[in-house]
Amino acid sequence: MRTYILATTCLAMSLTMSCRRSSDEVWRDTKSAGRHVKRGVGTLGGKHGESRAVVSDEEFYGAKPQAKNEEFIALSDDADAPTLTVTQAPVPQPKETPGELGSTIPGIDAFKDPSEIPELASLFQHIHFEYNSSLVKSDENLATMQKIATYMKSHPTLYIFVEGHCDKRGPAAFNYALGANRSNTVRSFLINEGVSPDQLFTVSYGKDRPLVEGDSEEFYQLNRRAQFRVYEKPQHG
Amino acid sequence: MNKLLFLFLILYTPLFTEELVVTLRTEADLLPTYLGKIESKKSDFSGEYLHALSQVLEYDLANNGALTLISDNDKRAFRAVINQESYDSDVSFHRCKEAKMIYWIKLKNEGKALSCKIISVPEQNSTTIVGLMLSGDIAKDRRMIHTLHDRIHEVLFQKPGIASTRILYTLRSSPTHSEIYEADWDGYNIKQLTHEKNYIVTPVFAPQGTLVYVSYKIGQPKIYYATLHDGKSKRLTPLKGNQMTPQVSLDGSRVAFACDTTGTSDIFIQDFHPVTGSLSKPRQIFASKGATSASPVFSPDASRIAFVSNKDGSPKIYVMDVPKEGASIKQLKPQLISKKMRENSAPSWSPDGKKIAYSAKAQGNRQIWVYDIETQSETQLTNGTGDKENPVWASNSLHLLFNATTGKETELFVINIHQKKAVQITHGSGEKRFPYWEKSDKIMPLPLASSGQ
Repeated sequence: MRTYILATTCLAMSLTMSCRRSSDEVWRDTKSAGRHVKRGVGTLGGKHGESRAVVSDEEFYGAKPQAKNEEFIALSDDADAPTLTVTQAPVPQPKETPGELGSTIPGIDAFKDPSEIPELASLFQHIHFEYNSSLVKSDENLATMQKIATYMKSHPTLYIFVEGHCDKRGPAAFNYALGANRSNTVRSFLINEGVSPDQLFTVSYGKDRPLVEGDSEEFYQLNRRAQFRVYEKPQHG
Repeated sequence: MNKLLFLFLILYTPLFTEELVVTLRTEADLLPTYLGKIESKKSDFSGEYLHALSQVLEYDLANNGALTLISDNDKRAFRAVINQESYDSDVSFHRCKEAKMIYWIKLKNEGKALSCKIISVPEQNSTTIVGLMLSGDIAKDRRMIHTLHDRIHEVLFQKPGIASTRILYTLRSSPTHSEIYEADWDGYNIKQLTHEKNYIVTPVFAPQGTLVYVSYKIGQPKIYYATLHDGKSKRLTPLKGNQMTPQVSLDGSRVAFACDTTGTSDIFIQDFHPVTGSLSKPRQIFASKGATSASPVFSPDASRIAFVSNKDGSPKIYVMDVPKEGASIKQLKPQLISKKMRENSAPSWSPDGKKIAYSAKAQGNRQIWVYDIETQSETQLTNGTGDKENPVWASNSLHLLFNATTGKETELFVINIHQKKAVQITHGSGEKRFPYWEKSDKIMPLPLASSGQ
């Protein structure tokens, strides 16, 4: 009897300790998992909830990186690997890097804050993110990006930098990469909406350029953002 | 019986769900050491100057993780026992043993010359270092004292100390201005290395005096390398996108970094020569769709990497073999090592290959943790307020340098796993971040040639 109780208690203890997490962590992870599942189902259902036939693996999974390309040697993408993702499929970088030797596009200092340009101020609103996430949520964010996409398709000489930012609470080094992913999420969306990849550039500042200083959830939310800088290339002729 | 068992579990389970903080059981017995005052005879220098130099050696000895300098009370007691402490007097090992002294360091200055006598009570012997020439230039003489410490350490423990190694860090003075600085391990002899008037982050040393770092000078963050010989910076790779968090292997033959050229932040490696630069195309070695991966660091033999990824939720530290060229994503087998805490970041692999230091959130603040590879255990090294990040090992795999918030600013701290008391080594305005420690266990021969700038 005693042995039985001791053994059962030990088993219960090992389970308790190995699964030890705060309730907040469990809730956060459950929320994430639920969001992923929901979005996965939504993705299957197609954009904007309209169902349509998926005609190819590439359309379903997104564009796959090439096994070899000019710039780097890629890991080969395994078709059997689990690839269902809730993010937009990643898209390669533009042909030019602004400010680089030989580029026809000047460096970022030539790009302006759209809030200082009357006709663009209300269009290029900031896109906001949840903590530790580069997913874009909320209808408001999606609507902003769709409007930007529509505008840019009709303005092929407008170039934009998408800046990725983080709030102050995350680790500094990791936040450079998270900021990059945030800016790429926005860029990928715009490309999928038909904007030319060569009009779109990304830059990550991590948590080094907060919009607002302070310690409140409201301030943190404002700082977890993608924001824009614009450059209109002069037309010749 | 089931009800009894249920009641038992209800009553006793909460006891086992409290957070356990286990401190490292590596508190070695630090060896009591007496550092005598510099005995001066016809000195070319003032007592004040000699005292300043003595304090440099005192700091090095007190923080080297092996010795403990005795307190003032114990000094008085020691002097009372040994009776005669002049540099040239005979040493009574018996009396030293009676006073429980293990080591005794004597110093003498005549003119410009400094001599050092290292007395080992257990060995009952004495080693003398002669021929050190003081210059009167405090910066040069501080460096010479650091080198003297490292020689003392070598005499006592058969391996040199790390006091003469240099540290790198960035000083961020505004959201758009951050430059690289270099300093002695105690935070003195600060020298600004870059003057780009731009934004530079995450510098590392490579062999042969090469710096590798990220600069925003063309807008996007890109990795550059610059040799200290000509100071000219060159791009590591033309790879498009944001290039981030570079690390160089110990032998200088490879650079690992994060880059979003595919559209998400993945891990790449690049064959490298510290003088001529890139030797091949960069190679993607880790990717996870939708995830953010960053901060790769090599194992000492460069066969493995540790890195951060949030592919499984909160950022965690993973270790994996560097895959061969042609490997597929499916073949990657990253092993999770940071299981206790959330928001893990900035791994640093100790040069002896046995430990990985990193930052993780504990009790609301980021603390420095150490993962023991052999025992697969995680241990919290620091405590208290302030967020501590970006730990980096010294070449002795004992000391760590990290940055921590101290209220308004961010400063650098040194800690060693034997003494666990973090010592602040930087002060003043500006955020000091992304420290890096020169990996050199070579000490300059004595007497010293001019140490240059």
